[in-house]
Amino acid sequence: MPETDECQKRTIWDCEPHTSLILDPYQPGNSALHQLSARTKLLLTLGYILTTTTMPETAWRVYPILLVIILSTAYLAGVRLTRLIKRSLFVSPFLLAALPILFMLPGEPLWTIPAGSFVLTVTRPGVERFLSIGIKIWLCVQAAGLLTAVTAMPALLAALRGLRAPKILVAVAALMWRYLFVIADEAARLMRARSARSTQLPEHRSGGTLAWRAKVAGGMAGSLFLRSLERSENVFHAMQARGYDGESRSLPEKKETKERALALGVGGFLFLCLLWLGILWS
Amino acid sequence: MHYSPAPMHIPDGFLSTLVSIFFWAISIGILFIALRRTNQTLKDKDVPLMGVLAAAIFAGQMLNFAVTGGTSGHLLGAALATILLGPWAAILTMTVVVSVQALIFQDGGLLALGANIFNMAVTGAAVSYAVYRLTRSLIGTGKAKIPVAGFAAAWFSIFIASLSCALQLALSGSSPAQIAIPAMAGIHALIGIGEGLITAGALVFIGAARPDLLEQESTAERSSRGLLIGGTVLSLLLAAFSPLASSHPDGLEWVAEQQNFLDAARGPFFNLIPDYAVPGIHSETLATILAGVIGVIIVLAVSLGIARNRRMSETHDLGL
Amino acid sequence: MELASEKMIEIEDLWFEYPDKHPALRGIDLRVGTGEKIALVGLNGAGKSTLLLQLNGILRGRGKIRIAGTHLTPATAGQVRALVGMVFQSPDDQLFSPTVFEDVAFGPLYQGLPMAEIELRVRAALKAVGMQNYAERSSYHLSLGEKKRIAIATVLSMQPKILVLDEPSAGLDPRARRSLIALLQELPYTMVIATHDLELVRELATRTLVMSEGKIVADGATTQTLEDEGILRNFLL
Repeated sequence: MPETDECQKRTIWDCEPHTSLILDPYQPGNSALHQLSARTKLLLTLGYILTTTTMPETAWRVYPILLVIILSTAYLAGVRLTRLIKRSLFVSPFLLAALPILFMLPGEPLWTIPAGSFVLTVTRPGVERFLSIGIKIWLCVQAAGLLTAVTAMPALLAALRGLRAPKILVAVAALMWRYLFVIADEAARLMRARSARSTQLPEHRSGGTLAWRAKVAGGMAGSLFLRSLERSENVFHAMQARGYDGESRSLPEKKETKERALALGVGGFLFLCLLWLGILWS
Repeated sequence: MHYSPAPMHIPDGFLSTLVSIFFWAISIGILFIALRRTNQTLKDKDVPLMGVLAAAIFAGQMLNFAVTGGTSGHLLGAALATILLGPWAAILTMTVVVSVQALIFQDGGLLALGANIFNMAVTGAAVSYAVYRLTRSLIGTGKAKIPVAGFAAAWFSIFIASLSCALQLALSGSSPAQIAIPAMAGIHALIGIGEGLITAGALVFIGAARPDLLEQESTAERSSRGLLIGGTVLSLLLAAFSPLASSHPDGLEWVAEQQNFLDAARGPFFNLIPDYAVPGIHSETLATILAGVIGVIIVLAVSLGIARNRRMSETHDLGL
Repeated sequence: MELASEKMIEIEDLWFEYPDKHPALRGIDLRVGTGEKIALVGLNGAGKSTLLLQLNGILRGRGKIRIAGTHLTPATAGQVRALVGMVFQSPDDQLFSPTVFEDVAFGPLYQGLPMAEIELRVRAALKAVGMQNYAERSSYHLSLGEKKRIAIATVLSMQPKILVLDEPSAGLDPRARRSLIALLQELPYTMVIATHDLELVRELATRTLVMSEGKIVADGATTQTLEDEGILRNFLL
């Protein structure tokens, strides 16, 4: 049917920004990585992140290996690297919080920056710590980004069930996922309606008082929540009509393959080797 | 994509592995209690309610309004969720929100998820709940007072959660306490105003359209005295320890000790449980903070335990 | 269980008011025979949707309801819900699972069927609505017409005896509406359809009930009911 073709594009990789407020980062494909079970991918990603965060901070020679692992895996899976990297830069503002580290660690001074009556001294340990934090954040975000690029949310939910996450939480997450986009579209319509009415006259300051703006935003949030409460009633009725009895049940997970044990074994071994290298080389 | 990471979602790489695991353990413990509590009180329609509201909170976090000079106020939603759902269901709902953000949108890390759940779901809901209840008992429970109490709950939930976040950064050696704490506290004192105003605005709107939704909380209120105490104690402890941690005169020495702590933590086989609770901690301040955090946890756990017993006897009385 | 009666739906003197005391149904009497396709028309607030929600006990009023010979009571509600496939107005509310497959499997899953049987039922239900290639898709990405079809599949998989549809054609473009009507004509179920779409009523329903202020004010062959100037003027236009 023709009307669905365009909808296939509703992933972050294929849409220009601003088409929808939030987009499913999943990028469909048939690579080996796509075929691998979600549980295995989730565990491998966690292993990678654990390895990266535990890495000694001066393991400079291991970081490139970690980066190559991610980028080559992504390349082989057909994930567009520029998008992956671009997306990973979303977290960079958080690095601001680590900035003071540059000046606060004692050690060999590298530069001094006069700042009023103070003199800020950048030290070698400060730079090392800061850089390693930046690199680690960047690597971890790409790993998580790769996971969601090759794993659809329904599969991730099944993986969480398989890993014995509490049933209620997974059920809530499944419903949240289903309505995320529906409600985000509602929010987008509300915001569009607000901007359509927020005209600006040249001689007046626009936007009214802070309290007024907050009240408008609050009203939008309020109506969003209210509609959602009412929607949840309808959803509940629809569930009841099909026999829902308050217990969260789910379809049994598909059979796991031998590849899983292999992938986990190889991955775990690789991560341990990298850690060992990192400790050796730092 | 307008969806941009909020400052409170800590990414992976920022927290040391040890701090990450520590907060995972705490969060799992509290979630376990929250699950048991909600299991007892869960109505059939609560799962769809929590699911759809979780989506609404996520979407609501994208609503923003200009405050001043390029900064904007936006919603985290813990206070609103607490007022609409009750504290325990709010903890679960916020946990799902924060987890999906981390899992799918890389807003907040996976290893750091335990800490993020602790800050935004557990602290957010517990503090909201305590402040909301306390404010209501101070200023009265009239209908017009609900948005006022909602504002206070929202502001404190953001502010206290940011202190918890700053302490985690400092404990990890990623940001020095004497800068991280005042900076996070200062920024979030402002962000909290945005949260408070939107929360209050939303409550005005809901109160006008469906006043019944704001009145039915009375049963939930009584059932969670433990969380009330827990939230209050958590707020007070975090508020009291943070200045202590940040104004420590010997900041550099303190950071140096941090370094020791990290080195110890980074060893291949973490030599757990030496003389102190956490390896490599010799600084008195750090020990005090840790003691504080552990104290909070114990108090929380005890009060939760009391609340659970109380609740059990209550349900028993009702013949449920 | 009583002997199968010829009547699929029997309602006697049904009254219902909402918690705010607003009376929504005032003495409904209704009999629907096996295989009959009936339409329920009337202005908004006439009580159509309320009546539909009574049929599987989601809302409970005073009065007697029998579905395929089974008295609807709190104890039999589960059993009756398997007989009455309820398709709600908004498919977004009806399709609450992450994938189409999970949504269509939801009913059979809660009926306690084994996985192999669930799979068969899902495939059959999707085939019946012409959507067999959509199992792994997410409902959010579908068009409204497709969502409506999937919504119907979610109840067909429970193998019900009655299909209850609330505003099935609302919001559809002309082509999607046409194909939905064709689908409903094909499906061999007893149907109760609440709608404002009088064209759809003419094409689908042999019998039409007109509701107003919680009462059935007219009940007869569609051809007659919808030709009656008085009924049209007083209750529908």
